[in-house]
Amino acid sequence: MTSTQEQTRTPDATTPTARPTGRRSPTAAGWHWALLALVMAALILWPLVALEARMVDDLPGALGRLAEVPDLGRTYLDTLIIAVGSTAVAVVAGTGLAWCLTRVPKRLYKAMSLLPIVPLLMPSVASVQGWSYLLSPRTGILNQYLRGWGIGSGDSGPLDVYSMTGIILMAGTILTSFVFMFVSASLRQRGAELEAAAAACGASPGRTFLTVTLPMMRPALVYSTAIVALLALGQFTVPLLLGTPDRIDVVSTAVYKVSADYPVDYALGGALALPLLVVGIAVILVQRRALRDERRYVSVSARSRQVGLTTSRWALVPILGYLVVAVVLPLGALVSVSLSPFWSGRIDPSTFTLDNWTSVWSNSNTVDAIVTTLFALLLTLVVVLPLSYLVSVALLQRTRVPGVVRLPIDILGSIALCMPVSLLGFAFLFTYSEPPFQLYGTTAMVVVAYVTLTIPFAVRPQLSALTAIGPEYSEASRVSGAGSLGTALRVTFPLIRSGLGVAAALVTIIVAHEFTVSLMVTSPTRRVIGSLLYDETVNGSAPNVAVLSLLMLAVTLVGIAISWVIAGGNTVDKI
Amino acid sequence: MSEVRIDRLAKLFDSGGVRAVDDLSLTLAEGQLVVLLGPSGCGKTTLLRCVAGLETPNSGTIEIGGALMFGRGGRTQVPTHRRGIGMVFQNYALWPHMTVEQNVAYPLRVRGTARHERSRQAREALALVECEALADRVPSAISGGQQQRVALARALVARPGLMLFDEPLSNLDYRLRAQLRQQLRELHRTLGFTGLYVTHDQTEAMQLGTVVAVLKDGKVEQLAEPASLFSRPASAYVARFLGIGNRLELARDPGGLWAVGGGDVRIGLPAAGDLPGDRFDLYLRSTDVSLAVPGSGPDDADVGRVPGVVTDVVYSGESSEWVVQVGEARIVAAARTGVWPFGSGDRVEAVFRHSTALLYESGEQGRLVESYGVRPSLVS
Repeated sequence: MTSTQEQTRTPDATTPTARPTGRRSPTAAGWHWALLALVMAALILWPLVALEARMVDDLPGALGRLAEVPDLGRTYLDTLIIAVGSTAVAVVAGTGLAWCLTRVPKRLYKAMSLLPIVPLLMPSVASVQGWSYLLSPRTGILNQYLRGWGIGSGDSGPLDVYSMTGIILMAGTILTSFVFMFVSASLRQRGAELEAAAAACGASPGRTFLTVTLPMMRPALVYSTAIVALLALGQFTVPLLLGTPDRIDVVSTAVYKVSADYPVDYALGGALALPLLVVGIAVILVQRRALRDERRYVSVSARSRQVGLTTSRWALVPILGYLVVAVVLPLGALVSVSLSPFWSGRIDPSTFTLDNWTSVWSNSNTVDAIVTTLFALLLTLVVVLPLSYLVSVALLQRTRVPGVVRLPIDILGSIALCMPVSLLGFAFLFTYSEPPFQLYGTTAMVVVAYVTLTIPFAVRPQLSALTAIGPEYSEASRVSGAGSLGTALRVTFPLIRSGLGVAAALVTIIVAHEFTVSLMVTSPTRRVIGSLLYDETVNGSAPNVAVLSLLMLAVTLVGIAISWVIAGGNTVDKI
Repeated sequence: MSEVRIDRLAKLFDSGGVRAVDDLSLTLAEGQLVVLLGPSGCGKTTLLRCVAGLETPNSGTIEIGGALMFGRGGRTQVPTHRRGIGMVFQNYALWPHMTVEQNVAYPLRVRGTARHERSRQAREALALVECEALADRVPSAISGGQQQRVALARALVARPGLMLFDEPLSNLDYRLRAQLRQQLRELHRTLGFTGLYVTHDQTEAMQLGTVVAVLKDGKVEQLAEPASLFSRPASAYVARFLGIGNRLELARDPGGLWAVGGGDVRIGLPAAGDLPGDRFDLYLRSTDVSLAVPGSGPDDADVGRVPGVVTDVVYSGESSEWVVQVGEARIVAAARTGVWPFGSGDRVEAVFRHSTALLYESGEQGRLVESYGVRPSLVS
């Protein structure tokens, strides 16, 4: 109905207080988002496509050389065994820890909920090194104790970390934290009331677990299993450091070995890693299908308290045990080795010395590597935080982004999560060391690689922070007369400060721990801590490796401290 | 202050599946406070957000103060921050990281007002809403009513050409709402801003609106001053939305009388001869119905009476409601507690005056029968 009103008076004078400038057509709004999608595609998709295109160009040759790779079948089989094994270990242990956490006495709950994610701060290189000092067959500290107690005989064993079992357990231990995070978050979201309700209906604890708890955990279990399986398929650090004596190779280490030869046979590397690429893409598609109708980034508004559950101190045992295995023991081994003049397998505090530390410091290689790492970290943060902020805004339902643009941004924003890191590293090496970039040996190359790797991790915390604050705050700013930039700077950023801090913390952890891509994209003249550490593992002394591992951890902690300040003091809690 | 013209505006959601605003036209004269009234989902908030530039309409034009804000088939779109508006949100939307004064001064800050001057004006605006004392507090440390007052000050501070209100009082409790309503009335009277006010609360609409627009399915169902809106709702939909709940279905009887609710009760309607149909709905305000012992009470041409049985008396403090079963229909009569001595089971007559009753064409969409109900003496 078109209605005109009688009451309308003609105004005596119209005062146009509004400034009708800045006209734009509605279709133009989509263009800058399309530009963002293009930038993302250039960063993430292009290296992968370019690499596989190179392989297709040289298909017969690549396949021929692939067939000549020694023990090719064995490599793929070992990759599968390690992936399945370590995923199983991680899922069982992570779920178990999450369940234990629900039984922890209330006053210890907060502290205990943080402990299982502390291992995320520990670089996996450091854990692996630590455990190799503990369990190497001859000189391992634990092995010597065990032999001393009459378990095992001779001068070797009884345990061997350089074995398939060793690799699976080690990788599984590292991945456990991820499973714990997902499952525990899902348990916490639903609260214990549902279990209490089942008990009130007369269900026994066992029946409650089967009929209520387990089905409730299922989405988180499926999701975390998929993620962890992908990470396990792309496992690089553990097989590289522990697989050499028994000649255990996985796809990632094989790709790395291709990248270490000169000239690099890119077509062969692309062909080797193709199965992982296919699996990664399949997982993305399945995940999108499974999650299509779910609201993916629901923020937890009210945490239900854990009511009506029996608690027990025994629940602390597995949680503390995990911390001991994943952090305390390897860290202790690293510290003692770094203080020993040489590595003999015996801890002798009377010989402890700081010589290793001072010699590492006086070595210009080390100082350069630390400076390069910190500089690369800083540049990565400067690039990735604004970029991922834009991606988060584009992914918000309330932002008017054309669907054909939002979907690519969404997929590109998470693709780096699903690709094996070794494949990404290899693709970066191919793309950026060739013309027109020729960045090999520069910090820029390292930064581009790190930015690409960390985008998904920087997007998620910002996206959930943006979702949680809702649209009104920025709308209120816009009706107050502030433009997009002013609104972002004065209203949005301060409000999502903790999300920004978490993003910065995650980026820091990934960059400081980065080993795989670093090995491939750094040159002997421009190394980061990770690549220097590997060189020392191959050529140097054990105490130096221990010192570098601890330095890696120190860089992580400094970065966390900085993001703590950014976030206003509650980063670790929110990760 | 400025005039606002909305012309043939349409906003579609879900790829055209939902017409939230449907070819709607509305004009706000300078200084008018137009209230958009309607149930949830009628399109009132969408309309407001289109005017604010927070939603992009599909077609139509919006002019504020003579300047085109949206139009020419979407080729002209002035972004929200250049529309010169002030807006009060339902959940206040005060930025938690700024103090009250910083919140209020923000519109001046983005307009480049000097620090000293904006502090002075912010405090002035806070004084208008009686919140000067809160200037240095943060929003989370003040009460809901205070937060909404501060939000009001923030919207007013830059003297915008148009004030928009998106259900600003619905998060407050009953008492605060009444208090703030009064304050808003006074502010509008003093400052004389042009405003568009969205609410689903009819009391708010009646008290605040210079003009009230009742919305239904994205269209204006009725546009009128509060008094004429309430005395003569243009359709059964508007009457029901305004809380006029007593409905008697009438069907023409061969004898010239009207059967009530398909039962045995018959009543006469003045001017019945002219009525353009055989079925109508008679709506009565509960305060316009009184109860009497059958056979007693006033009796003249204007009086209508239907017999019934009291089924319940709902005590609500000062006033009470008597529920009377009339054949198939129920009539509620409201009055001061204790006015009538009737209780459950008593036979009574519900008495009303045709001059205050409303007659609509039968059905949910029925229009008002204009010829009925207004006593000749009342028609000027």
